Amino acid sequence: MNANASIILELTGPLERAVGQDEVAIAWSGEGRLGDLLRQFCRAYPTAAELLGGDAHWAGVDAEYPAGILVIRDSAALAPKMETAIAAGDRLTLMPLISGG
Amino acid sequence: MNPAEFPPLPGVAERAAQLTDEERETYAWQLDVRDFGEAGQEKLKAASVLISRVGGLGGVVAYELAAAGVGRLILAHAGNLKPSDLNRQLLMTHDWLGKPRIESATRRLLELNPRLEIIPIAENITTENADQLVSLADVVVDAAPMFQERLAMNDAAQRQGKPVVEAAMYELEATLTVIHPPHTRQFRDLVPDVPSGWKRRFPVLGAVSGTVGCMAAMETIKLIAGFGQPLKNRMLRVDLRSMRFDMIRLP
Repeated sequence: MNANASIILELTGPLERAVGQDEVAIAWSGEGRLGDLLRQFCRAYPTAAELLGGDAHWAGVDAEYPAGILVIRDSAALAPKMETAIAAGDRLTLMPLISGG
Repeated sequence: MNPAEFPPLPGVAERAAQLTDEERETYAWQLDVRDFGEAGQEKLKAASVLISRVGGLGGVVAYELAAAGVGRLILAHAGNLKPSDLNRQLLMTHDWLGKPRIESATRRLLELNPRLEIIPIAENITTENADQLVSLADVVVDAAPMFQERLAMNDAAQRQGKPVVEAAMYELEATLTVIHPPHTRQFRDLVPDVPSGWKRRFPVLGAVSGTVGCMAAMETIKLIAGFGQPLKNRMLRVDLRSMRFDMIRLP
């Protein structure tokens, strides 16, 4: 997939396990919203959707940002908001916070 | 070091008591640590730390803090020891199977440091007991396997202005940060509610809990003694499969 027409998502922890890969590419052009990227990721990888709120969470147009999900770009966590700006060519880490003790 | 970033913990310096000759001998190797010294050791002796669960992760935190000379540990952990605990819960022993885990932890810690004061609580953290238990501590260490416990304890710690060392693990990964509003964001900025999909049972090797437990103990010691740069507004993510350590700036 053309890097300029996609966003690379590195997956960690239970998300990596659910998808069975440590990295996936999501087709993407131009600029957009983080919430739309997460929605597209859940559609493409339904086995991971439960960790991002579940299918029902993304069914409506007014879905809120899923609890406990960090998205990291260039070693900085992005604002956990649906409207956070992202763009084709981004390399992001999708990191569900863990609670193992 | 920016002092504003590392406020001294209220009351710890005031309560700091002189070391005995026995304590000076016991801690001789760490009294030479730069920026720590006898003043840091006296603060450890005066400090109280609440540890939420003393299983794989929290048990190692407790062991390191006991070895380092923290004066009082409040340990919260319910339930009896099962065979499946023994791959990682180093304060538990085979002969204690079927008996309360909190008793095994207390026994083992006192074997290491008989000067240690322990308040053993045979309960996990809940919204009902969190405020009372947090009030007994200067610093809180969160090593609970359920987000419900983490949220309850962080809410209580925030109400009381206490710092929380947040440590967690999954398979060969671990995360570590310090939450201390208003010097940092609050825990609920990261986890506003219980995330979906987290399972009580998760894959892990004991060496992972040992690794992150030691690092969480180090963060606790730094907070109490007031030196170094605690992980405020930063999260350390460790992947022991690849030995990759990432420092993440938090929003």
